[in-house]
Amino acid sequence: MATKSIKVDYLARVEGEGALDLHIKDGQVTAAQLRIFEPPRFFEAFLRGRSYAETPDIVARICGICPIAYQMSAVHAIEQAFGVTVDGQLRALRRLIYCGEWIESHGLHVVMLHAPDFLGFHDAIQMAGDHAEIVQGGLALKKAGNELLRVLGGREIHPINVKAGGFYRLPTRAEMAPVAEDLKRARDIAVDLVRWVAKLPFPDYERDYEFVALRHPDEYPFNEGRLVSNRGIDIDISEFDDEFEERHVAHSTALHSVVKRRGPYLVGPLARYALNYEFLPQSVKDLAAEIGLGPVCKNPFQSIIVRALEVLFACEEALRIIDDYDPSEPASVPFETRAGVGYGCTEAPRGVCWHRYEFDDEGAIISARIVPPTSQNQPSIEADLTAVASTMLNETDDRIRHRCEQSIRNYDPCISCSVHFLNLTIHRS
Amino acid sequence: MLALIEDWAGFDALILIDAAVPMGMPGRIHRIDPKDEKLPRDPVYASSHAFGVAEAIGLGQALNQAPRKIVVYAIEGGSFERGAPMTPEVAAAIDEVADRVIAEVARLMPREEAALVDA
Repeated sequence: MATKSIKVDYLARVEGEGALDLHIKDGQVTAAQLRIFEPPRFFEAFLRGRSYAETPDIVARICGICPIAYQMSAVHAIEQAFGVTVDGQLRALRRLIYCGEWIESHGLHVVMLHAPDFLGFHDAIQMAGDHAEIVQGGLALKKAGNELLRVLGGREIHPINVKAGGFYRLPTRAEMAPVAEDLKRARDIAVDLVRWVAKLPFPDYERDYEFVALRHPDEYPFNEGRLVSNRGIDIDISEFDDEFEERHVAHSTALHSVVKRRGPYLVGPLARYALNYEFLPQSVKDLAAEIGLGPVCKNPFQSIIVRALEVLFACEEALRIIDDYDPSEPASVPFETRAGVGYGCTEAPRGVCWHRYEFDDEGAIISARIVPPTSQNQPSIEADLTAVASTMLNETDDRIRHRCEQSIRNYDPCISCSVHFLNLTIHRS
Repeated sequence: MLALIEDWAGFDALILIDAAVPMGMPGRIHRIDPKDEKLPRDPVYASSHAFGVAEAIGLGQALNQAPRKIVVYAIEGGSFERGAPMTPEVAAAIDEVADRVIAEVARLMPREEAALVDA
């Protein structure tokens, strides 16, 4: 039987290194394997023996795009282990810094990495020729988000101002004021961006995902909530292992997460939106309605619209928090270390980022476990690839390849987090 | 690297000095005028993690947000080991690069400003 093999050297516009093998036999996709060969980075191992106090700064190094996600999940886990409650303004400021991360990460992905796919451009540089205003808007969003990280986090990349109990220092009102001005502009850019991405040509494809996200009784989730799904999961974050399982697979250095009883699940913007739509501000719901997006979106290609809506939400939420900001309150709450186990789970731009730490009585880490969003989404990416490729087997390998790359970018995969570019090989027999 | 576009906003000329991938002669100085010569750019590296100098200049130019005059000095690296000191071959190129950059500034600066500096 003749075997056809098509090789794409790299998949660009993803964060990390990996490859994709697509096997087609007798007119059917028999396997779609996302092979991640990014070397394992052993963060969980080298956290052992380190102090709780170093943890936020160490885990921030896992990712340059979403360091806040790692910092937030870590500080919540530390505080749970030591019996510390951080509420009031400090809690709000944690939401604020998370807003900054969503704005810069989503803004970058929507405009610079994802949008070129829909319009046939090789990259954002080429797209800038025809859509300069959109690209400039994307850069402005990234800048506004980064500025929030800089003012509240101490610097844009791998912020240094986050600690268990709160922050090392709070910015003055004068430092915060220009950020609010940037965010007002970013909010307007986000509205235009939502309307622009809504008009992109989307493949007619939906999948019946099991959406998994945090859900909080009265807010769109960043830092807190129960882990819920549209198929009945509703658990405390400490019960993660009851419902979910990480599995080693031969073709990837990243672990694959599945719902034990069912299989692949989806975390990230589509899941958050479907499970928490009611908590979005009316302005965001109105804009979603204007562009014809209902409360649940099952088309992964339209995740670009949901990301743009989440940018708008994050701008509004950030402005609300800054409006109430009182710099005279303490920057952190005091606490004492004790032996114990703590869990943290927060909503990274790409989905839930789950941490578990065990500490000794002096606050040194005995064991650490980190489950990043991209490894949770990996089986779902593979399921999408199988389904998407199956609908276009009679098309040219180039078209299949392009659609597969686009399908992977739907997830804004941060492969370096889960353990930089993909080879795509199509085997036809 | 995306922040470069903001860093050079409002400037008329840019001299950018960077390490280049080793091509067999550590410390060798390459002067590139992007107007005459395309900066090496691998299409692969179009992710934000690896958005390089060539991409930043390309994007800046596409958006009309790049200085009119750009000169890139790329010095071939010898070692990219984390924490390792600069190799002697690369360190030996510092003075020459500095002299050439000073001469470049004099050439790029509008005459009236150059006269003020000389005064």
